[in-house]
Amino acid sequence: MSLPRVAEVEHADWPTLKRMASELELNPKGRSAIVRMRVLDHVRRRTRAEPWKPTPAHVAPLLLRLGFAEDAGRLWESTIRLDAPAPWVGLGAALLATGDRTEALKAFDRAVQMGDASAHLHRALALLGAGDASSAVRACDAYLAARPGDARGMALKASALARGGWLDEAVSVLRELLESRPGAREAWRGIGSLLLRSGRPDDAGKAFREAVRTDPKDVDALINEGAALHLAGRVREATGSYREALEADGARADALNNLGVLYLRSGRSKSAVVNLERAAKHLGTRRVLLNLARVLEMERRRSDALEAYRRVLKVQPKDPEALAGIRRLETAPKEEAPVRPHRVVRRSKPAKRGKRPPRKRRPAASRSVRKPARRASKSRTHQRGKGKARHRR
Amino acid sequence: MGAADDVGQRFLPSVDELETAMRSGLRSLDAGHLDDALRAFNAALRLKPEYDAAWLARGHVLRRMGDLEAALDCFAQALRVHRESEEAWLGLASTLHALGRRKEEVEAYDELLKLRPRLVEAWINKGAALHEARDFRGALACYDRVLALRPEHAAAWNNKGAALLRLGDAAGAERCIDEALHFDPDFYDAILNRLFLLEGKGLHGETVMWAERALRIREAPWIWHLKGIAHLALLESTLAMRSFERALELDPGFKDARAALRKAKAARAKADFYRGVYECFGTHLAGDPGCAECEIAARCREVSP
Repeated sequence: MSLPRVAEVEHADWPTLKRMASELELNPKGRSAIVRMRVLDHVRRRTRAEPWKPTPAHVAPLLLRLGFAEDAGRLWESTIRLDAPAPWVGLGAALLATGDRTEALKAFDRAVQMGDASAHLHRALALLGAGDASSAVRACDAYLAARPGDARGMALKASALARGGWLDEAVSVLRELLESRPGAREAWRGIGSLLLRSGRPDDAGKAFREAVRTDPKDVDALINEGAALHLAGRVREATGSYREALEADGARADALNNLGVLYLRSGRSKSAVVNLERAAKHLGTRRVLLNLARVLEMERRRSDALEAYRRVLKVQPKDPEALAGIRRLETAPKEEAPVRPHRVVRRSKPAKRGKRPPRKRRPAASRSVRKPARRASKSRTHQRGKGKARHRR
Repeated sequence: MGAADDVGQRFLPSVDELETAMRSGLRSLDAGHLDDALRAFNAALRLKPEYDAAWLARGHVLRRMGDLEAALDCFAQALRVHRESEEAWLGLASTLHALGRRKEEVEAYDELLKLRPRLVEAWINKGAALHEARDFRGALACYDRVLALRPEHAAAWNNKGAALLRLGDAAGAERCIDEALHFDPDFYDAILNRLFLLEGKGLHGETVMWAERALRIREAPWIWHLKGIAHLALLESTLAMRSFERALELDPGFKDARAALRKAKAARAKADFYRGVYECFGTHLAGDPGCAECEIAARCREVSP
């Protein structure tokens, strides 16, 4: 019989309490409070949790996460048994982290031999890390043979195919994945990126639109859609995508940057400056700062452009583009500054003590220009209690 | 050991050697080899005389060996090196407690509480020291402080109950002991305090039940004696005899138990009731559904207060 909960025992009526006691093979006779206490004691003793102690299999993955790969490997070795593939997978991951790829692959192979299909995926990742895309694809195929249609396996296979340069094959794997999981927006995003890489921005734009349709709040997909349309020359639609992304998240520096570049290309340099400045405020990366500097340079805002180039050098010292920009701005002839009349400061004579002439009051007309007049007119309207405040200018 | 060796050990301490000595001392202390532990900590202190951890460990060893004055010196030395050491203050206070120097013990806790005002252990121990010094109001203030920090602290509730009991507030004490048993139903000290309360009130049926509960956790001759007395009051002579016999098994020199056993034997000739499966005999409650179905309700009513 399963144990009742403490709250159930505490609130049980007398017949229920007697039934509980009998079912738990406890004495159901006596005063109700005593029977209740008897059942509660039994439940509490039975449900008392054993203190949890971590085993080496618990500690090893934590050690690996914390960066102690060799110690994790030693712990995994201590847990190896004849009938359990998991320690071999753990050992392989630890060996991979120490950089011993060959031994890691052997460990994954051992796990595969013991019937652990997921070891194929670990193997594929290790092979991808070594740059062996075709072997990684084969490992993914082996995994998918054991678990057909598995999303993780198909995504990794697409990634391996893309890494090997087989972009169309990667796209078809992702489309296959979408057939079984139509709501997988990551797959649409992946297709879009692959199509962009293969020089088909129109199709990429459509794929990103599908991702947005699946999740209208997917800002990344919106920005990517904008970039695809931008590359396809559909400026107005691209602008719409970026704006939509910025409506969802106004602090997305990548959208602000892309929009700035788009404005610049369409000849609206002031809007470009505004967007790029906002982008640089949120994310001062080299690319954003260089874009801003170039726009400011084009706008002939020499000092601002110089400052932007110098900020690039702070992010990446000796950046050739920034250095070239600074050199260009420093060697270019300076524009003549507007001539301003020199102010002559005259010292007034010190006033004689004792016979100081009374200070002249300013005429009312000159006072009306000053700020206090504005306050006076406001307070008057408040006193009247109606109408708008009239300001004298 | 020659003079040169001695100078070498004293002024050129090797960290490895120091750590080895400390580790060896701690291992011996854990294994209960106190002489070896003391030798190792002495060696560590020869290498580094201003080492608070070694003084602390030496203090613990000496306290376990029963040399309380020397242990006290060690804790004082540890505090001279590191005045903010929580462990050293607690060690010092507990040694003072063992020496029966209550006032100094309380002062030690006061010093520690200046450093760590939220240290629950120090508040509880200070309360207990004040309780033993019969400053029950001071003890109550300490327990209230603990309960403000940790309202689920069963020991603080129990101690508060004990202090209230001493101050004559039996109802308040009962509430506190109830709280303690709510947070920890197997809290031995709280069960015993409840036992005292019930016995004082003359509730023999409840006394038997709670004595049985306490005895399931830990046996003590005086609890058996208390249980036997309650059985006698409930006219259960055989059960009373068994209780006194067990008390005498545990402590053959327990005179009260021996006298009570004689009394129980005499009482058996006149009356001896058998309660059967009714653990709650003597706690009759009118209107309770369990009592309504009870087969020995009539006898139970007779002995229930």
